[in-house]
Amino acid sequence: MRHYETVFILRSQIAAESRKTLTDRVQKAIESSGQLIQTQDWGVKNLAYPIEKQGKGIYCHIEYQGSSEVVGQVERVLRYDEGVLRYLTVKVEKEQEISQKNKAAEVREEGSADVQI
Amino acid sequence: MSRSKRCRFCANPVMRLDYKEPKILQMFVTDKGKIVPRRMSGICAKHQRFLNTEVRRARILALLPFAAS
Repeated sequence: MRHYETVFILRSQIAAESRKTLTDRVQKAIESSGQLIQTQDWGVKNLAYPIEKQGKGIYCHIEYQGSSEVVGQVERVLRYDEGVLRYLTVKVEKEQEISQKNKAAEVREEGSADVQI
Repeated sequence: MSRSKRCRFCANPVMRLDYKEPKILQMFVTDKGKIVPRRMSGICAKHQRFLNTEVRRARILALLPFAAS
């Protein structure tokens, strides 16, 4: 089991319907050999450079777990969908680093608590 | 960029290099979109390496430009 995250960019004028079918298909692809951890919608953002003549895109972020085949399945769904401008899958670091991050987050919280006092 | 004695990412573990946070990465990119070299950025080798991969990831997702006009 590995931890992955994928960010994909959709055309900003994509129909709500086709967006829903895409997310359903992505979800199915993940659940075929892994499990979804969380999804996040970053909303419409300006692209730093035009992609397929588009200046804006809808950013979506998904986090999931599974064997290495999941990535291929998810990317296949994204690759053949015309509404997707770009996607990037990244392996999320090992648990050690995650716990270090959590520690950092704790420090951050404590820091903010101090500020409040 | 002002000169500091210690790499700011080592000094402050809360600050993380992440392609999902282009605002932080932008501090280490020239206005043309180039990555600032280590001697200018004052980052240690390890964090400069992270900076490189994260900037490149952000570029793929059009969060940062490859070359700004």
